[in-house]
Amino acid sequence: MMKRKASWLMMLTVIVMLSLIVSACSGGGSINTGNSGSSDSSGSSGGNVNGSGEQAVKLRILWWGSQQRHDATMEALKLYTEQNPHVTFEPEFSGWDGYWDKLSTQSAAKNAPDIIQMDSAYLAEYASRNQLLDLSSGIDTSKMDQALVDTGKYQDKLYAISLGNNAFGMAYNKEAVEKLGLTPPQTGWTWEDYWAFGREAKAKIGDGGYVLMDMSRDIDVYGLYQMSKGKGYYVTDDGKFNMDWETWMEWITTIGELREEGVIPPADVQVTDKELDPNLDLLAKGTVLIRQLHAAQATALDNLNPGGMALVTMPRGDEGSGWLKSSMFWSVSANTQYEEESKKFIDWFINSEEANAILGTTRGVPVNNEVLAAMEPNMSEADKMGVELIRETAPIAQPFKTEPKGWPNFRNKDYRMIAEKIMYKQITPEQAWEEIVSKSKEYE
Amino acid sequence: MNPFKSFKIYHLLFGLIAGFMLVLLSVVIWFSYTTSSKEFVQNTFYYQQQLLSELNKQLSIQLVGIEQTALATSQNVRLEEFASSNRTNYQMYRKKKDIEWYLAQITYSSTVIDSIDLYISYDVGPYSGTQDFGVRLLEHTQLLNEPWYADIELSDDAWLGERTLLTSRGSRNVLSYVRKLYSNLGQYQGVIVIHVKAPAIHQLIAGRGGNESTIRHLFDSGGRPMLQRDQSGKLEALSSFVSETKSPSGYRVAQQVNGAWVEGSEYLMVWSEDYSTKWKMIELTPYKEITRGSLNLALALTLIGLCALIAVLFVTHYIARQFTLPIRHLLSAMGKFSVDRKPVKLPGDYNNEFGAMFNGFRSTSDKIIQLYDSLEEQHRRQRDAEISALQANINPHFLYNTLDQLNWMAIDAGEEQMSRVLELMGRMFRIGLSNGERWIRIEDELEHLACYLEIQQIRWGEGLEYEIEVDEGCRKAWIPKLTLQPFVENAVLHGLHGRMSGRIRIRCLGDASRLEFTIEDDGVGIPENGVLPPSRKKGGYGVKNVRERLDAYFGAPYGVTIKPRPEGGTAVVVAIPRIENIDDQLGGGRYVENRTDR
Repeated sequence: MMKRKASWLMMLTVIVMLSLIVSACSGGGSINTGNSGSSDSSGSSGGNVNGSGEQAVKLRILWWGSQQRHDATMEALKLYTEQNPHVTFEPEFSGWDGYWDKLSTQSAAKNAPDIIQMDSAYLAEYASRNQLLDLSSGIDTSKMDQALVDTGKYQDKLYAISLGNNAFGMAYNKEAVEKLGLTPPQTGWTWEDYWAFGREAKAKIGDGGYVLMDMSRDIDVYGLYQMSKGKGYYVTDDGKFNMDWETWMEWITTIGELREEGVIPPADVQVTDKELDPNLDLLAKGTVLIRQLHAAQATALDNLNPGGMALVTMPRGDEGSGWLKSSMFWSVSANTQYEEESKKFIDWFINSEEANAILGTTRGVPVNNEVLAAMEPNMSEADKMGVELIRETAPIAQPFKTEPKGWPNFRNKDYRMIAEKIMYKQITPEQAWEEIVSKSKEYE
Repeated sequence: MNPFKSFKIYHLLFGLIAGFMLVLLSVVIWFSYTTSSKEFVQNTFYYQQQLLSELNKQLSIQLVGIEQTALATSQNVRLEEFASSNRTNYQMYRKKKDIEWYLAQITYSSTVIDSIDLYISYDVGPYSGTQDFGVRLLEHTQLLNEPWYADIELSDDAWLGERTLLTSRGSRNVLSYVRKLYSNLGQYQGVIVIHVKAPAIHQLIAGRGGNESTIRHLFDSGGRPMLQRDQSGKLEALSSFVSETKSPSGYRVAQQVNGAWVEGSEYLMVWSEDYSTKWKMIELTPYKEITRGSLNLALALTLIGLCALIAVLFVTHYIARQFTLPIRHLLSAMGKFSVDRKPVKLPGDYNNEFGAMFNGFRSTSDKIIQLYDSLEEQHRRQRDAEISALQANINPHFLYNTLDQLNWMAIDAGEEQMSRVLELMGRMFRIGLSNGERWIRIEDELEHLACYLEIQQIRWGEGLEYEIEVDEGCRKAWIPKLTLQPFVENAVLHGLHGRMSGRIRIRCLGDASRLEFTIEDDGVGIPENGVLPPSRKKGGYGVKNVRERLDAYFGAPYGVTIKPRPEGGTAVVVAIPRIENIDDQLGGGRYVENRTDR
């Protein structure tokens, strides 16, 4: 009897001890003693791997645009991070100027962002240098017009996903034009109408301001001018120099005359222009009344002076003018570590109604037709203005031209520099022509 | 209170061993915790130190790179042309564009340079940059409004701590290096500011394998915090606390009290200063974080210790049981023995002290059993004696009555002598029986002797004389009944046998503790060899009885001495202790019993 009692006491002691150990284990957390007493304390394992097992991803993303586009894009990125907490972004953005300088330097250093906003003019350039990823799979483009999808192809491979329909036209200060009692520019107006509008407006404005932008440096506008005269683009599709001496002399001389007349601002003023910058844009500042612009920039334009701005088609010649194009693209850098995550983001960007509700038409008219249909009832006046320009440009549009490989640099660097010399009256148009021709030889 | 005397042995053994183990364990755990945490701090310091100086080196490379870039730029960007009087607008435009392009390429090709600002001290006319990403050409008047202008005013270059840069591209956190530009003629031309991406530096400083709770701070050579904005000088306090040591690297264990740093136990503070830039990196690690390892160790030890303790408890329980088992055996044996007084079976395989204890108990209990047996025997005898005494009490009445009748018969027959004899006999009976008491007063013993001798005188007629001399003081003392009578009887029957006259003298001499009776006769005496002739054997029983009784009651030096008298006859000396109180006699009686049993 005594003996039995003693062993019960012993058992009790052991049980108390073991329970102490177990509680010590669960209290200590990280220690696994591995003895039988603590095998039940599985609740103490550290939880550093979450259920989905997704790695944290930081996507670098680069675009150009106006403040409206920046704001909308940032908000969309925020939404995406909310829905995919493992993905964060390192956004970089600026205006059009400098964008390609930065991208080319970064690409040369193989340090390009994961997701790059691409322009038609540069697509061939980057795709041919194998700096972009083939996006043929992984992104749903079934709700897009096939023609639009194809604008992102280079040698039959999809290197860029179109983000919107766009049209190249002009924006003018409707408010000021009406105040001056001028006839507003009409759809289908001609280059002659354009020059005349400048002179007419100048007469009313007097010395206090200018009317037209100095487009000497913008060879794409000259390209459209030449196309409207039936002489083709400044460069042929196979990369041959195609500027017509006579047409160009006419173009550059007219601009020179208008500069002398004060219709076009002098070079010092012109170089301070920064497209759609509220403080630096010459149209926004009221320095000029009209400038070239894309339909996708309608909301940004409207924001400069809500309701006070309007869009009109690019002036035409014997043939039509302006063109329809893909506003811009998303491309993925060939050096990205996050191919799948980048594609997933682009797919969401074009196909998600939520995303497009935020983005509106900041990158042109949405490409997913179902999304567009859902958005249309809620479109703002500015959005509608952009859509209208596309609609009006369509009948007279020239076929969209992309620069062949190498030519973007001619357009952006060499031609601009020569044109600036003309603007500053460092050289005559004739001298400039010689320089242009000799420079172009380097690209042929 | 001595616990070894008051608690149960099992509890003592179990409690003491378990307690001792517990104390031992606690000491070991405490010791290992303190030593290992010290070791951990040393180790942590060592590795953090290595890491910090490595990081500092990397950072230094970056910073020196930036400084070199600024220097190279200051050589390449010549602004003198802006001052030339015959400059054209186009030249100005081109120059700005070229500078912008040049600077932009620097920022685009670097992963750490965020952008470059150029403040030109000349009037260069309006210009809007085309390299938004990387370059801003700013008017010199703006420089004067910069909050950091004071830092550069008196020196050629300076590093500016982390701050927020607001541009059209949003806000970014940057560290900036500012350098003044001078022409070849030493004329001040402006300031170039290279903005370094703060996140890149943060990332660099965070290093790899960084711990979340570890905080690293960066200070320039002047002790200004470079990566965090200083809130109410807290970081400056940290920097100056470290600078107190005047050592380029080291560690302190410190804590923050009201914004000031003092020696304490909250953080391990390790710092390293770069040799070239003199920039100091200070790393703060919560002390708990470091000692967590040793805490875990202590915890593990505690667990192992507890397991060991349980094992020890089992072993202790076993040992304590093994030690207390024989004791319990013995206890239960003793308990059982005291109840039924039968030999108890105890384990026989103990050869040690327990075996000796068992054997001792066994022999003791055997002896006790024997003792009990003899006691019972004695009790039986005592009962028998009591019964016979009771029976004997009946006889005297019958004898007295008969003697009385005989007396009357003798009186009737005119036998006066016979009547006297019968009367004396009655008195002798009364004293001889004395209600079965074994002890009587000496005066009664002497009266008994006197009666006997008077009877003998009557039988002898003339010729027998006797004399009894006794100190009056002795008369009330006690003596075993009929101690002297056998010797008197012997003297009459044997000493004076066949004689016509004889003389018997009885004397009693005594002091406070001893009484000596001398019985002398002038009879035939006894042979020199002391052997009594066969004729005296009859009285031999009585003498032997007395001898044994005296021996039993008192032992040496008391007893009986018989010797011949030089003048003829025999002298018997009986020596007894003087007993005044009957209680002593009872004590003596018990003594007798013990002695007879031995």
